[in-house]
Amino acid sequence: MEAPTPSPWVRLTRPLRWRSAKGTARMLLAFARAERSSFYDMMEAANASADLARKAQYVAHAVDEARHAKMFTLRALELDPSRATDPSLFHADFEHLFTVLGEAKFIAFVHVGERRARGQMQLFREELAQLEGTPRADTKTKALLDAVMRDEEQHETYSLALSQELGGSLGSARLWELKRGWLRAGATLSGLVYTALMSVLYVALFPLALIEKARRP
Amino acid sequence: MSAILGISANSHDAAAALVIDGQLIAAMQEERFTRIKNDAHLPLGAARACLAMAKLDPRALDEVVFYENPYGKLERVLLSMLRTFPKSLRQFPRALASQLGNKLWVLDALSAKLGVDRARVTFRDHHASHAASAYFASPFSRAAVLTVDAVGEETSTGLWLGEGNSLTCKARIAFPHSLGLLYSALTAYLGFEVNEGEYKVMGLAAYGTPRFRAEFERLIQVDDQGFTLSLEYFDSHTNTEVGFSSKLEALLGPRRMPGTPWRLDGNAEDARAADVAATLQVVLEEALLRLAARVKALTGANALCLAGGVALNAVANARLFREAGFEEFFVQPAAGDAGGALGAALLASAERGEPRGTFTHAAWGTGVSGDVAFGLATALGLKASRLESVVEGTVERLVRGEVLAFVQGRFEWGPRALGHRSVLALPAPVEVKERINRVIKRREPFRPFAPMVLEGAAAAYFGAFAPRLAPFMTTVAEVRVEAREKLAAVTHVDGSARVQTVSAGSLCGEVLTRVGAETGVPVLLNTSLNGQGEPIVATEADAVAFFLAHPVDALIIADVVISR
Repeated sequence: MEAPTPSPWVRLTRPLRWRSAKGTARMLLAFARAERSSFYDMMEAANASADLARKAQYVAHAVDEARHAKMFTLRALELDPSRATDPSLFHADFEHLFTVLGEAKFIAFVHVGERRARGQMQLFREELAQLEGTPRADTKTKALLDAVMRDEEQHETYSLALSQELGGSLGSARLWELKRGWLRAGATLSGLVYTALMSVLYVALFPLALIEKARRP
Repeated sequence: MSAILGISANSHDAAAALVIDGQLIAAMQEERFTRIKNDAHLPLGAARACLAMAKLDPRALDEVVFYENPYGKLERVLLSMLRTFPKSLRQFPRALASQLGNKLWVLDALSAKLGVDRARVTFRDHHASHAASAYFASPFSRAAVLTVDAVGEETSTGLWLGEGNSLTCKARIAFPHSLGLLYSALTAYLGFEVNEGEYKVMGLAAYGTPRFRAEFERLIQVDDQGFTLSLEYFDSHTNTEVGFSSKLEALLGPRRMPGTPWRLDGNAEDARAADVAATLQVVLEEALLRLAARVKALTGANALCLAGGVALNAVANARLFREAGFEEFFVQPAAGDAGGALGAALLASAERGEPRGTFTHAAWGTGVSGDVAFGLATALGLKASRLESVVEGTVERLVRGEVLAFVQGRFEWGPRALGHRSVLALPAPVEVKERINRVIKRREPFRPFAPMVLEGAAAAYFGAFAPRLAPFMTTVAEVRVEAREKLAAVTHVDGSARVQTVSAGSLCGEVLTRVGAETGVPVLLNTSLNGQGEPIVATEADAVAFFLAHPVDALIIADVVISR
């Protein structure tokens, strides 16, 4: 299956990816987090689905995602050992997508996500191929992407077939993803505004802090 | 009739427990459903699973009880921030977002998400829930109760009297003086994750000598009333990630960086870390002994119940059993925050005058089906077959030296796998331990494995231990010198073992009896069935996923064996 074209943003950020080992590690950890999130969603699907064939497909997919997350994390730590102290190293979001979307829309969304991820990995692999023979060559990361992309293609194929079988709409999944992106951006922005406001409030609490310190030093 | 659902959440290890007419029906941690270890989110999966076990509609619940006072907690957080002004500047927006974003509205959220009338959603205090989880689950009609954890609303340590259907607080120690926070801060200092690595510190302690007594006397002062922390060494208000200040590093040396491989065979820095852990362990035990003496004096009781995260320290529990002077001692397996759900439900039930039940086993989770496991394995193209006898099929593989994933019945309540979701193997030779630690569980090489022993045979292999704790693996015992070779894979470096006793009538008991007949030693190595950083498996799908990702020799799930 032909890999999709990644967004212009992914192409624009190329210099940040390969400029340093730390930049590459950051990117790989982002992949690891995405794979871990996907593991949670696939296990939720496996546990919720009553159909044994689909349950089996979801389990196999989840096991792949967990393995990918470990591989990306290990490679990132090789490139940047200081990341080992990051308390959020093994954290990931769990959005309960199977419950939220229902099985048909969920599996359509899985297909859309896998396809996009493979497109990105394909681009990164090509970029790494171009770096071969230069001081920035990274054959280990390239081999890692090759290994993961094989699984991603298989995930893409089965999820498309299953989505068609269950009547899932890829367009509707893409729309939902856009909406989620919009809400996430809003949450990030409001988080920044909130932090600024709370910092101002904190300073304004100074008189109360004095009273409390006097009451109970 | 009363149906009460207890809930703990929003700190770590969220859980739900259902009590009907005073009897526990189900109790489960949310992590088993989301697959996120120590998941703190509202335990809707666990709550729904509890209700499904009883075939109960949420609207039929008489009460949903949250395990702590969300308003009291907000007050404590705000006052702490004010007391540490201006050092808490960075912490303030995060703490307030967390409190105002969801924690303050937890009762409304429970009402809305479970579909229960808001008037029926109530709360009990954090330490009252802990105390109830120990006392009302115990077989005692009168007992002293000690609750020791990091912090609830304001209390970090509670001394209680349990009598009949009532619990009375006799004394308390307030935050920030907290044995839980001391232990957490040192856990972070030693490079482990807080709320997860505490039991690793306990295991590490056996490799060290308590040579930092003088330094620890500056950290914590223990007296007849309990203990007081020297707060300048701690930073729990302003740095929730590590909880200690630079003064602690000045006192004990530089912290150990997380993720650094352990070398306890001559590396001076790791030996120092082990010595710090050993000193912490001894100081903790001494503080607990003082608290036990005080609660005994306050209550005059002959039995002691212990709860709170610190009660998961099996080594300290063993010392309390030996030295605290109580005739009876009980710790239920989910002594940490998950247990708050159980305690809140049991407390509300007791307040209604319902009869008390007795906590005789830990299998309060959901079950597994052989048909589902067989169908799933077949669909995945795995080599699966049905066993005529689960006991014979299991024993045959174990005596061949195989390492088995063993999944039977309902999953366990609490952090210990007690034979329902376990990895099992023979208790010797020591290479078994190496294989499971490095290849299957991928964890630190110093961490010990626990022995599961037939109750009637325990005295032949182990020294004295608390009999009410051993079925739940919440204590340790000394392995008899003459038995250490036979139990090489389950004997810790200091000669101790976190022993679990099993009655002969249970499935595991039958397996142990047959293993004893075959090998002469009715003991097995038992460790939890989970991968690195993952919660213990719950369902057939979780177990098969574990089998696919980890090189155990076979998975026995209900009457199905899946092999390589």
